[in-house]
Amino acid sequence: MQARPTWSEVQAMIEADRTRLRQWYGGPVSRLHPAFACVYLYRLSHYLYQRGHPYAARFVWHCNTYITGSDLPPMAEIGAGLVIPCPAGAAVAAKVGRNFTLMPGAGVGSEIGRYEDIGAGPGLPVLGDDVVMEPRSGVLGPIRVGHRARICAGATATADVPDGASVVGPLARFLKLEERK
Amino acid sequence: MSMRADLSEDLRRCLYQSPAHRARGDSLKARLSAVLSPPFQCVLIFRISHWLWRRRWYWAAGVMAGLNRLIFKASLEPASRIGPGVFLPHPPGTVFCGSAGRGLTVYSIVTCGPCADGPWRVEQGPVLGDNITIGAHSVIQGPVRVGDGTRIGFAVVLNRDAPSGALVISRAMRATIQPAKS
Repeated sequence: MQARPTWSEVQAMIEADRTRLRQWYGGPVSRLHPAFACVYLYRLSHYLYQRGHPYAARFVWHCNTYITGSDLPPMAEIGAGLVIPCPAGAAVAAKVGRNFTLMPGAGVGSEIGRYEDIGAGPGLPVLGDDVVMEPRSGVLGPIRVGHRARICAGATATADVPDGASVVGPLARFLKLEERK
Repeated sequence: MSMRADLSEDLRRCLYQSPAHRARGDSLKARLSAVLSPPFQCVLIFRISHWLWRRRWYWAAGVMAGLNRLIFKASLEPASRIGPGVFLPHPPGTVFCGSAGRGLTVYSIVTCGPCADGPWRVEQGPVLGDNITIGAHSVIQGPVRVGDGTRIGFAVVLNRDAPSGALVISRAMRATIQPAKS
């Protein structure tokens, strides 16, 4: 049985998102800025989904994908304080805690071939609070990511990540142009 | 430099360096086709938003940047300074918040911006020199300096300074191919 939140609860979450986005940007953010619009539309579609209007939720979800380019399905559960600064290409299908930061090009979702259900849906990961995902990082498969974890740029987590850990990807290597010959 | 001079340099790069337009030469038709192509339109909207931002019309600059996000899904911060001759062959997914010199080339879904902890300010973003090429899926994050003429390869994560004239590649360039399971 799903929770049935009231609109005032959802509005409080949206206000928390907006406050955190403003702190993160270090300045005012317009309500029409896609970083806010995508979170607003996701909250609206998730609210409609939980209140038992799946078709309306689906319509808002697709509008969100069309307008801002982010794919935040209403089935995903994301806590208050969500920040997506550049929503084009962001995809989240998971259960996520509070104060989640998703940088451009990062994605959370399932991996082909692993479909266990650990609480978020078949094959989907569960993320804790205060998780930071840097650009071009990923969390794939039915795994648990602890609180305050950081997935660094270019890295992909496919196994469980403990609390406070960082997942580091490949670093850059410098070649002088003469070396190539 | 004025916006007009910057834009003519951008158009010149679109005309002579884009494989789609190079074959057709410098005719009026080729120019019109280059002006209407997404790589130039995206840069045009960015230049207008930067022009408005420099005149302290921040609201209008934000509207133009939002237009760029809506149409091309390219998030080019109006405050970022980009020199003349920028060429974005594939605008969707580009994120730029920093400063760059002349002759910048940015391929598809490149992120150039401050660290993930914020604040999202141009002063916290990377400072790129002249004639830099950034390959697809690369990430340049934090207040780093990249020297002139550096080329950055595919899917590189760069979070420290890069020297001039270097080629930067990723350490994980090799893919493993597993045989098919029968």
